[in-house]
Amino acid sequence: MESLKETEMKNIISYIATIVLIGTNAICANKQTVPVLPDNFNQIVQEADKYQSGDSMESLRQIEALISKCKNNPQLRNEMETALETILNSNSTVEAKKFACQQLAIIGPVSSLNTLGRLSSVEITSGFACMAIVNSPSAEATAVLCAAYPEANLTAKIQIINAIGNRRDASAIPFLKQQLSDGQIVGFVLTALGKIGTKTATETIFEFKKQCQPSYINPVDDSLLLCAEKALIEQRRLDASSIYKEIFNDSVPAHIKRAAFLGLVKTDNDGGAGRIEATLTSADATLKAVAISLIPTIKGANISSRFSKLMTSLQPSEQALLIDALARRGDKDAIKTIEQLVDSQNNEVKYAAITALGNIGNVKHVKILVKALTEATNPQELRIVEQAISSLKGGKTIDLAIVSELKNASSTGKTRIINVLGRRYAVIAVDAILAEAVSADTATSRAAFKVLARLSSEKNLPQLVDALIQVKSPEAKADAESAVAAIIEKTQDKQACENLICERLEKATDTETRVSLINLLPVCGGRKALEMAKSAYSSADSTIKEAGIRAISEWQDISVWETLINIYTNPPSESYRVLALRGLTRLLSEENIRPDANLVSKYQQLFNGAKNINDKKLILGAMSGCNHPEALYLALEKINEPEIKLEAVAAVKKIATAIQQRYPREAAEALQKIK
Amino acid sequence: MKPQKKLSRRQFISRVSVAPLFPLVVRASTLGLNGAVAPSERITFGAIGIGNRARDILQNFLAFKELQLVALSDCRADRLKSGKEMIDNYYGNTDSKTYPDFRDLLAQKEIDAVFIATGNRWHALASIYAARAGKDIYCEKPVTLYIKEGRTLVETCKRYGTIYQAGTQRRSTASYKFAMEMVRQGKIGKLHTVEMQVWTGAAIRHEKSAPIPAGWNYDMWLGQTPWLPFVPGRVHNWPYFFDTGDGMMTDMGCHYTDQMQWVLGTDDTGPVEFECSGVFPDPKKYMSDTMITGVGKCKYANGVTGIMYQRRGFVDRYIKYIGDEGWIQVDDETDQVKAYPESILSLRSATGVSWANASDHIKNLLDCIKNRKQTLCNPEVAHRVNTICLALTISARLGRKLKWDPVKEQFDDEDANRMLYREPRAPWKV
Repeated sequence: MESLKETEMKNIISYIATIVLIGTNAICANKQTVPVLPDNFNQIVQEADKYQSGDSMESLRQIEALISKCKNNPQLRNEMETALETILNSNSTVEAKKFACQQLAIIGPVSSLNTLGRLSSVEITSGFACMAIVNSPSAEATAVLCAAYPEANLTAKIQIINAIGNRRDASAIPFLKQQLSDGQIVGFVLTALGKIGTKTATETIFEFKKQCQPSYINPVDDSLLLCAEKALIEQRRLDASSIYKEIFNDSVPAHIKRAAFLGLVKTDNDGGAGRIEATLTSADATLKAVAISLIPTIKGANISSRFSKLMTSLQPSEQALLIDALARRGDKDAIKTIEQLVDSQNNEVKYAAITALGNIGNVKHVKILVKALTEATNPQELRIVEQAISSLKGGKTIDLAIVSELKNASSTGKTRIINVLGRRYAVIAVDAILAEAVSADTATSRAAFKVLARLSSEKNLPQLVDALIQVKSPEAKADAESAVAAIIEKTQDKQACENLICERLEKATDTETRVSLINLLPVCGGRKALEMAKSAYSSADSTIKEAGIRAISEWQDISVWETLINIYTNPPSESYRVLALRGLTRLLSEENIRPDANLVSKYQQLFNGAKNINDKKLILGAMSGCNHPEALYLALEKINEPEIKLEAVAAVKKIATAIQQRYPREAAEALQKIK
Repeated sequence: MKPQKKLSRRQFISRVSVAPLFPLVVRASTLGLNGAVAPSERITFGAIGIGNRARDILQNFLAFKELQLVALSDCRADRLKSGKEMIDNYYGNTDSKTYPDFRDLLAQKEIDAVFIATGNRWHALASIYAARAGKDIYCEKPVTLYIKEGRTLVETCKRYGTIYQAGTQRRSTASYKFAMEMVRQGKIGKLHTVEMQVWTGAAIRHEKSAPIPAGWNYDMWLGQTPWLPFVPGRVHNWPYFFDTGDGMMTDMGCHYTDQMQWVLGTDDTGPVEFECSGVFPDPKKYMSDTMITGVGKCKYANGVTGIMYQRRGFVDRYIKYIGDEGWIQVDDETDQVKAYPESILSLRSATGVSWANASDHIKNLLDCIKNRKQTLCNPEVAHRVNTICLALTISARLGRKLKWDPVKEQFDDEDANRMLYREPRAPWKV
């Protein structure tokens, strides 16, 4: 055994020789070739050699960059491998060695295998070294690992065994077989053999199983499962089958048994149908759910009808699973069985059947699903049936079939059917739903309007407005208003909406209807609508008057300014004044996207009419979004008023920050004042 | 026919034995009174990793009466202690058990499932160990550290019939579902581009190693990643280091690639081309090695292009579907949906949860644990989603465009193929 000093000398000589070799290669290179190694490559390698945490990683990145250029460049590849091996052989830091191994793992080491082999037997470097060896394209790599093994401690041995397994090299089987007697690593050896998975590896494991301690059976079976998978990939179905049969018994842990069962299904000639059927009729409850989960993918004729026949022999929870599995087959053979279970006394089965029909049913099933919908007695059931009907494929055909159930349904039924039509986005149902919107039953009417808000279009607007006029219940009227508003929002031709609403308002006689239509005036907008809103505000009827002021205060554009400012400054009541102010501040804040002196003068107008602190705070809040120097000055004035100082300061800050690029002096001065 | 005994839910999902867990004084909830679910019908969970994210989402878990959190594991003693306090406080007892080593938690037969909210380096590995131990799984995203690990995760879960839900919960949220439906219904015409955005990544300054804090099992913290000395800045900012996180394009980007895959209906496949470039931290000043800003593009075989931007701030993240007749966008911070034409928005119903509430996503898992169906974000889905992000960062690291075969799951580039895999540090194995 050589001394440490001798080893060090050898390393130094090897290092120097490598540097000389690299240099020589560079000199001898064809002068026409683009040089890839930088001139300071030696220095880079030396720096990388010393790397440890805290140091610059520049040399490491430079080496990585060169590694990435190794593709289709064997010369560079060799040079890089040589350089990296130098790092491994020298007194480099552990971190440097780790780095070198990671780079070798990318290019696939060949010439450095022996060095890597040596390092694989040392615990601290074993992981890095094996990282590189596993990726070696050389057939010698496995032998290198086996050779390193005797010198290794336990951790390094485990590392080596794992690496051998990951190389999946059958030549290692005799070596691995020898290690099975070592109790400390037998589990790892078994896994390695399993990964190799050849017939010989399988036989080795079986042989071991015959005489091993009971505590090893689980890892043995694990490794046999790996072998079975390999056998399947290599089309050795009988080999795989015999492995699974060996494992499949009640004494193994449940998940191993499950794995063996899944494997046997794969190897069965009939695609597992017989085995699954036998499982469903057995007393082995642990595998039934697994067995049922495989039914959707079994190939073959009459599968659905075959398993449908087993339905009544199963527990309810199992029936529910089987229903779902049959539905997932999408197979119409199963439908008859599932249809009958929609009325099951057991909720689990019933819900599964309803859900299944939603997935594979057709127009024939609309009637029974709607019946289930109208009869649902609890929220969970209702949700399930709604989902099922919503899912029924068939587009308009289904929608029309559902609509046909609407007429004769109870009030509760109608509400539910309408909701489902909404979920299906059944535009074809709009006329039918409109007819229900004027129902005397408030719940039905409300449901209808809510759905119409989504499904209607501008062509339905006249009927929708007429329905709003007809309904009497206040709640339904409110929903009708929302629906009409939603449609007006979607409509391009606002003028037509304005004409319609105004025309209906002129003819309306009862107060509630007039109020609803007045509420819709700001949604339409327009000159005529505004006149009608003003006219309402002038009414002697206080209810109409209030509707009028509300409509004016919700007006969408600044054309209402003069009307509102008059109400604000000459209010008939405090509540009207507040409404007007809210409307005015809203309008101004929407105008903030076009800040100018005129806008600020309007804010000033509002301040002039302010009666209390709340008014001023509201105005300041809106004005804080007005990015104009005049607004800044106006806000600055307000910091002298103690009750609103905080809000004024906040407004100054916001405006100044927003305008400081365009008006730096003004902004700076203002910010200085509020410091 | 012989009458079959009605089985409790626990037997139904194949537990082998039940160990007594509950105090001698039987609470009303134990008897299933007051609307509670009886213990024998509850799904018992263990939590692995009790950091900040775990605490957020555990609130959603605990709200389910059919679930009981009975054990916790963390490699930090301080987190284990405070995690136990939180759970015991909730249940009003001191029954929760703690395990510094998660393998001991997995060995408990009475635990049906686990919730994994460790650092990214542990997501797939802990899940694989959990699947091998027969547990069902909810695991935070991104689900893997490297692409081949994802495929191993898929195979392991398939092998054992494990029910697994990835924490890409936006598939269960109203705004994203609506956007998906609108795109699929053709409301924006033919989809041609999906834009996604995550925020600018951090650059972590150089720092020397330091002593490991008391109560930390640093070796366990590292897990499968290469050994490195304890450096506080590197440990606390692990998402920004290639060894432990792969950066924000993966960490957060996977939420949006998940949506893209879902909308396109490509859950079992993926793009065929990747190209990514970005700005990496200055190595003279910073030790972190993942992108700060960048642009990644991926192309699908059907011509759709995905573009992932890494730029701007945390609140600016979004996904936008652009078609030849309009677009629809979900702003992730506000959960607001914008669209052109705006009329699309009128089709949206008012109900549904936002992504911050993972309840529907957890419910999906709990239902699937009972019925053994695949979850919304099952391993194949989650792996494919993550593959897109990881492929983009591989492209950025190598500085070149890469072609990808989504069937073979290979690049047309040997060096890139070697980056699909990272050998785990012993004793961990995938």
